Amino acid sequence: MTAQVAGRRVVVTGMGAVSGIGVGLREFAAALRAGRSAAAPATSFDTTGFPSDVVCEVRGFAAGDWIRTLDPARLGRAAQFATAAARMAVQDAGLEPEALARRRGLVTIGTTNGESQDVDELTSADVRHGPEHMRPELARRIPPQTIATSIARELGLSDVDARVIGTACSAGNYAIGEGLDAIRLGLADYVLCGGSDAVSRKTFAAFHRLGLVDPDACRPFDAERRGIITGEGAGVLLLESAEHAAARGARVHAEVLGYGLNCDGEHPVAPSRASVARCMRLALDDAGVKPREVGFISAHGTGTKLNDVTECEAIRDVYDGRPPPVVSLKSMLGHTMGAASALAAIGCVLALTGEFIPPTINHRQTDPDCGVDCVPNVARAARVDVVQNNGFAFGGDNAVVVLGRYAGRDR
Amino acid sequence: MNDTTAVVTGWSVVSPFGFGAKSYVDGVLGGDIAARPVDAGEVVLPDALACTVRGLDPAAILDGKGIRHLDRASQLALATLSELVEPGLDTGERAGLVLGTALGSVQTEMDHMRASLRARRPHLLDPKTLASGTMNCAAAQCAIRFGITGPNTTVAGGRAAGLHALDYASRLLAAGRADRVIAGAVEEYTPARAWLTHHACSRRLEWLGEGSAMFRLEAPGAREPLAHVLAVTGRVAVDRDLPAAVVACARDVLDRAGVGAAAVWAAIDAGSSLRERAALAGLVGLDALTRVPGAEGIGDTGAASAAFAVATALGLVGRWPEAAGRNVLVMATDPNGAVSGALLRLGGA
Repeated sequence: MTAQVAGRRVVVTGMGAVSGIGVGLREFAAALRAGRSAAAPATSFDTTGFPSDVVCEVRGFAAGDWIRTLDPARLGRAAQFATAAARMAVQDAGLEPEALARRRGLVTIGTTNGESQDVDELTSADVRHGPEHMRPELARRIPPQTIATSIARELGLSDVDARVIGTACSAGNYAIGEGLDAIRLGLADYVLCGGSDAVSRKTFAAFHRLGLVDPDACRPFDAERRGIITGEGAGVLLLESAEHAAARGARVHAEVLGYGLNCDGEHPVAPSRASVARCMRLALDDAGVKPREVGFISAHGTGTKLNDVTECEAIRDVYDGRPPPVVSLKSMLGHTMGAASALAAIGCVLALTGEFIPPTINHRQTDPDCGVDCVPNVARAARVDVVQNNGFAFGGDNAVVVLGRYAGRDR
Repeated sequence: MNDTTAVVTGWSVVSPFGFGAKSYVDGVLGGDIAARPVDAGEVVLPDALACTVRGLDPAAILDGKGIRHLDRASQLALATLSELVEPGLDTGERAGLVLGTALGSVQTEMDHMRASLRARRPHLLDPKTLASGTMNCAAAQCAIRFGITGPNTTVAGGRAAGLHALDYASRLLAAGRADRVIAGAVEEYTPARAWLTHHACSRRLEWLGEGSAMFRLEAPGAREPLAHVLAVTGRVAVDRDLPAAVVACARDVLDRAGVGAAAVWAAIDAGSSLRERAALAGLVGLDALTRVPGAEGIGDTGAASAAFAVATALGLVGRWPEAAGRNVLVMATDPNGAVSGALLRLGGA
């Protein structure tokens, strides 16, 4: 198994969230506690002819409220979300960007589809008028790395590696894990990590083609669940070493205790119970945490028949048949793709500090094959110390992050 | 951003010069040019010439269904990996794969949207191509076809994607998350990429190219290294002054490696502008910058550009006796402001 990386302890001191249930950290936290749903008919693209029209869009987002250096109109929607969330995270950490700019950093953001709305528009131009009529400004901004370089340029951070993790729907956890290692190993003083994605017609079509879209609501672990609702948003966390946070008197939200990543290497879309279980064990080992210490699991929990039952079986394998509550934030947020595990990680931290377990909404009757306490419909007051956040992706790419209450001393 | 030495103990490429390292090194050192007329049938292309990989037939290399329906980037990656992977060594739970990309297979993404606009109903996409619709398809296919079940990561890093992959892979090794990692990058030539590059005016060389380069990285000790990866780092030109950022990034790389600019024997840039090259020459000297032939003959390989520059450096080992033990600096810039650099010390000394 993975040797636990010795090195600096890593803490979360800033967070920013752009989501369908709230823009801004406070709004996001209140919505998680209230169990709000982002699901509504799509406005970003034409759903005529599709079997359903429900998506989880971000509404009421004014990019200019957060993006000051760059012209928001020149950024794609995923870059806007991520840049706004990064600005929020830096503010939340009580840092001036100028102070960050003097230090060595890493900006690593996960995405599944990048600027998918721009790619759709470019394709529409091609289909309607021919390829010579594509808009050059869209062609220039669709490379996904631009999401990370936009954050760096907005905040004036030149001494950074800026890259995007393209590992589909677990990419947010990949980015957080990469940030954890970078600080543990002393390769960065701070990390801005997370994920971002925008809804698009192409993504909506692909998931419908796979038969994985629920027509009205996402019901993870429910006996009548039918699939995902595609969503969008961004979550960005600011990580630094515990030592660095203490030296500047920063408020610490939580500690990133560990993570694990692996690949099923089996099937392009169907998850593997054994491999998913192995990834959870890698993460718990890396964190130095025993399963019985985990207060709840933030599941990948897509709401598809196959994911939920496979994930719950794997959880029971790892937790010796006695798992803690297993919740899915996708019931509220929809499947925000590359942002999903980043927003869920932020939700986990808010649950640690706010002493509650977020609910799994839209729930009617738990599928006996899932057989977990999913905290149905209503948030539960609870003081937990350790949370496990799962992220899985098509391609069998798994990443699991373990977060803990920060007590300022060795656990 | 990696100061912990990893070593390269194997590599392979699939390039417009052919399959495998030898054809690539022969082509680069011989100054060959792979540009040929391109024809996509009824699909209009913005290019008359391009440097494409001919004779790519993954089904001839790999058994298994579905290979022909994969996107071209995935096919190129699989063909490259098949030349490098050693079962047992590069496979299993302690082996990882990190693949750099710029746009994924943007052709597949656009094909899906095209189908959505044209089909009888908007979700009736071709189910055989759905797996290729996300950026991680190539890396995941590599894991599935070869049984690489450790870390599997796709890094979008523009022209420098191969250097981001080296950095990320080195960190996986340093953190103990894998014993061996294959890292590299892949780029496809497709009508979608050709048009997007054309409209973005982001082509840096005369023709577009494609291909893939991959490197086996591990901790020093197990096998005779082809090169030590002394340092990899990046930065962002927030003021858009790329030449200045190239110099700052190169200085960072050298500082981290503890190597002076005068000790850079060769610098290879992955398709930089003239101003960026001039700035780099000011730091390392014109001799270093012109010592090694460029890979212009395979065209602008986009996401694979920096990976091919690394391949060129490795290709000198054993070919040029004077290259043994020398420091080679690889630099890559991107129009979005990202700059990356890596310093390799060649083996064979």
